[in-house]
Amino acid sequence: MKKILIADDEAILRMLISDSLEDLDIILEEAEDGEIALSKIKNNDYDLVILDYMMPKLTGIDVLDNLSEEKKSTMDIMMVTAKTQESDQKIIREKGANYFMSKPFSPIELYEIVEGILNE
Amino acid sequence: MNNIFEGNYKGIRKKYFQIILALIIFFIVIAAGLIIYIYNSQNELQEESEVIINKTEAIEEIEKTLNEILFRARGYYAFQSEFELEQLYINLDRLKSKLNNFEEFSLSDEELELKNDVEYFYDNYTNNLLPLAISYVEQNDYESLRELSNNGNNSNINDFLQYTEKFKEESQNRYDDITNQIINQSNKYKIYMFLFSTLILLTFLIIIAYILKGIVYPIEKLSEANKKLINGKKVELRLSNRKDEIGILENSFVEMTKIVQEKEEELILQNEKLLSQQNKSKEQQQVLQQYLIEIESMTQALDQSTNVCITDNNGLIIEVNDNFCKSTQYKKEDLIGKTPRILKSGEHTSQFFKNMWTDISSGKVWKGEIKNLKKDGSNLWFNATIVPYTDVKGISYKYILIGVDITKTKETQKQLITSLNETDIIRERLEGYNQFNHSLTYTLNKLKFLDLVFNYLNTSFDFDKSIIWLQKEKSYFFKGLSKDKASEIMQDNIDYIIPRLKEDKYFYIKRKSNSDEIGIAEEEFYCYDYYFAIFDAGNDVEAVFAATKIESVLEGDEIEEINGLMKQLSLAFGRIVLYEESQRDRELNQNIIDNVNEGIQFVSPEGEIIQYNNALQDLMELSNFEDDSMKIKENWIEFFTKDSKEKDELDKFFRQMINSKTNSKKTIYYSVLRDDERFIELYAINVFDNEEKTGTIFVYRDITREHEIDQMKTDLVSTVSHELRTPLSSILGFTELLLKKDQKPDRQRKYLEIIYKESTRLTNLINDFLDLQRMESGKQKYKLEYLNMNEIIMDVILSFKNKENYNISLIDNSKNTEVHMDKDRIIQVLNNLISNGIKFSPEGGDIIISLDNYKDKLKVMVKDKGIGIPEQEIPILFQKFKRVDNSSTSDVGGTGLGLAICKEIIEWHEGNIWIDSKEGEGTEVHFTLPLYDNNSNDIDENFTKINSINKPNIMIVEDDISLSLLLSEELKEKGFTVINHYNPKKAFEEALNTPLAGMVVDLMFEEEMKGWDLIKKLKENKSTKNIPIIISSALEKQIENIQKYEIQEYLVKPYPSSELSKVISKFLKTHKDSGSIMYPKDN
Repeated sequence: MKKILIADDEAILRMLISDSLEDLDIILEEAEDGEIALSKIKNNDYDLVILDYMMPKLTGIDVLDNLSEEKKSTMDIMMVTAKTQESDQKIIREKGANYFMSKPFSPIELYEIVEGILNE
Repeated sequence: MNNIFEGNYKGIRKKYFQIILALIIFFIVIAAGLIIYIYNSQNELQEESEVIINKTEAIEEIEKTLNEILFRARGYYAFQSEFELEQLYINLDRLKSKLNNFEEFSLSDEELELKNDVEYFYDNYTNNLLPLAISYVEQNDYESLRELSNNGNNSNINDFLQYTEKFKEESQNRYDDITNQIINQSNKYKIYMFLFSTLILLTFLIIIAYILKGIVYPIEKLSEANKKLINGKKVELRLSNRKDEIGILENSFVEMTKIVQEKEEELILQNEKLLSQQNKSKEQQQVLQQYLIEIESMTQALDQSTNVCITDNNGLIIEVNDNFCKSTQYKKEDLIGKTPRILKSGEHTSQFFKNMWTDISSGKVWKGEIKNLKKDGSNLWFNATIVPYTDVKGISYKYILIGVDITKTKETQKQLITSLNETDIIRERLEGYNQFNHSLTYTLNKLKFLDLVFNYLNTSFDFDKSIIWLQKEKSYFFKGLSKDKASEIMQDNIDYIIPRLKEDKYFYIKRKSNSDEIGIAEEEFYCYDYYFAIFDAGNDVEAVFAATKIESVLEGDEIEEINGLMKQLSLAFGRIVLYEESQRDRELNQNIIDNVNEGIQFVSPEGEIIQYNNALQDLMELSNFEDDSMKIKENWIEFFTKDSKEKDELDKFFRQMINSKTNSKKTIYYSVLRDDERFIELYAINVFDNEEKTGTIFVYRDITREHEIDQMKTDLVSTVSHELRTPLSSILGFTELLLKKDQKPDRQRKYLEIIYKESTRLTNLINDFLDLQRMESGKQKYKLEYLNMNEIIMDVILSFKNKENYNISLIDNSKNTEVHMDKDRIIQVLNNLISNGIKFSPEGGDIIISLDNYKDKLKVMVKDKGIGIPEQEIPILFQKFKRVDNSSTSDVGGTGLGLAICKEIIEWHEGNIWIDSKEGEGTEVHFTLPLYDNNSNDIDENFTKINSINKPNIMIVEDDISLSLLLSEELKEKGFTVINHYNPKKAFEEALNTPLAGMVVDLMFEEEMKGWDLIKKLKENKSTKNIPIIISSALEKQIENIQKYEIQEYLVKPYPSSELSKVISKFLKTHKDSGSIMYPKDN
């Protein structure tokens, strides 16, 4: 079974994402802030990490900065953010996130993208 | 002389004796050694040869004996003769003794072996062979005997014999050797002896040579010097270092030579002196003769060229020469027998003659210039020398005066002095004029200029009274006048003076002296008033110079001079006016430039700074612009660019603009990092004058603030975008899930709840955001009222009554809670703070609100016992969208704007807001607001003092009992006696009988009589019309009635009871001040 981590400080958004993905045969874990997310990623092997950009303690970018390239290459990273400018997206990509989802997003679309990622 | 050497004197005899003695001893020792050596070595050889001879003899003996033995043995064997045997034994004994003899020599190893062999043979032969042989012989067994002798027992003997031969030969050789050695040695000794004798001979030769050198050479030298000395030549000898007889001799000779030479020189000198003395006296004689001749001719010359007069010791003239007569115009006969006093001019004092007489009578020569009178009375100057003739006792008996006529010189001199003085005066005047002109040229201040002109005119033309004034400014200087008179002249005569000056340029008035001018003089005299003008370019009078001469006039040329001067001054004045104008313009320009916010810098086409303004200095933080080196192109460019991030671009920009010849404008944006980062917009334009570039203007605008605002806007947009998108995500997401997927009913409900909650949150967020935006931009409108905080707080607390888990209470420690505020906004603050307290106390608990007076402020505190805030986050809480990073708050869902809004509101009310918090213990939010009546505390104190003696009566007319009681309580507390009335009619009746300090009147009554009616009645009655009235009503203010009835205060219900007492105490105080307070009678 594939393992996915959802890191977002908003409980409602975590719920939205997990409800969106409930039909997938996956293990879902959650993190409430950047610090928790970072330690979970370091101690587990996730297939996909869905990272919120703006989180307390450590932002999504901070989390990526604290991960080794090696670790990043073992998993897919999706950044969820309200930042929609191209320059922001460029930075996000450079930091190692290979998927990008802007808020607000469609749960159905999210489901399809995640399904695609997991089937790769 | 000899004493010199006494200490270390060494006799020559002793010295040579010592040398020879040492040599003799040396040679004796060597000779003895040599002889002993020769003797010893000869002896040794002799002994050795003797030993060899003896040894040879011994060995020969042994050989002989052995041969004898063998011979006797054979004899015995052959003949068996007993004699032979006997002889054999004798020889054996002899052999034994010979061997013993041989043993006594010192033997070599070979010899020792030989000896041992022989001994062995002897032993063997004596003990074995011979007895065996004897037995064979006796038995006649010759067979065995032959065998025995063939057994070789005799081989040793044969060896020995052989050796003996060899030894003898060797000994002979050795002996020959020794003999040869002896001969050689004796030859060698002969050579040694020869060499030794030669050495002795040489040594003695050297010694003799040395002695000759030490003694003969100095003696020769001395004798040579002696010869020279005799011949009178100069001898140079040095003192000798030798310390023997020769040394003494040399030194004595040197001393002697020196003395002889010195004596000789002395003699020569004396001789020369004598010779020169002789010459001198000859010359002197010649000179004396010459003198005589000269004196004679001089006397003649003197007589011809000078005036000579001789008197006797009484001063009577006894002789004069022709010149004297000619000069004085007297005849000789007229003069002889007279004293020179007939020539007296009266020029000199009697002291002058007295001094002269003292000098000459004491025998001194007198010299000096004397003025005499000729016969015709004209002047005659003598440069005179009076020589007294003295006798042997030194007493003068005759005086001779030799005078040179210097009359002409004297006159010329006099003329010269006069003209010199005149020149001096002219020079001084010219200098003064020059200086004046110079000062005028460099004076750019009108008043100073005027002062200069005034002083110059007065010093140059010596006016008695004068005044100069500026026609426009009415500034003036005056002299010899009273101030009143001065201004009188300036003003009163203006109608006449100015037009006339315009017409005539100058004029004067001759008038009779007035009483002041006459003073103590006896008669009237004439005075002249002169008027001159300085004109400006438009021929208007700029300044007037008016001056008076008393009893004297200005000459025509003086007037011309002054007029010329005035023309010159007009020009100079014009210059000053121009200068002042341009100076004003420049100052204005500089002021404009300096007061512009932008830094302005003007540089020459070469890049040097020509002008700059204060703003530039401030902007560049440049204090050393005064230092001219900073104006040089490279220096300022370096300084201006050094802290910039865009250093290279900026440098390039400066250089391009300075070098460019086109009139293009350029702008660059750059940032400078000093203490903080500043953003600057730099605008540059070239300046042209007639198509020629005169420089470049750089204008620096500090756009840091704009830049920051820009940055803040960007940040805010990004944050707002995030804040808005988060609830939007939930709303859209869950809606989509509801729409596109079938959900269970409970889930549907949950989703809908979330959507509702998030929509509310979004709405709140937008509202808060708009509120804040309005407040920050100053567009928020506030409705201000005087309200009591405690009441508002109670209302807010009531609105939270549905929060069952929370006990919200107010602790009121304040005396005064009245604040000028916008009620809705303050309620918004309180709501925010109480909501926060609830939000951050998830487990419920007390929320306490307290009120305190602190100086002139009211302090409100909202305190919870919730989760608290980490210390480091407290400072950022008032910023927008900043929330506490705490996982337990993630469900709270605030907008992040609440505290920012609170801050805006409180600060608008001129209050402060701050937070104290401890994580895990709770949070306290404090804010202060200024009290409306911040002196109330002081008044209360004063008030209490007054009323501790007299308790003023206050009547409350109010039909709401609870309110009436509340107010009474309050007033009682403040020290009033309160009279309550529910009925206006009854109240009026009582007011007529009781003295009242004030009345509190409600307007609405159920009775027939209303509040206004009561007031009207009170005001109409004489005894009650002065009672101050306070209206306490729920009705709106009726301005017309308030004014009409002189209502002291109008309180709109509801109001805090404290407000009433405050109002009363306030007017009570004013009444006391005006002296019309009414106190009640004692009950």
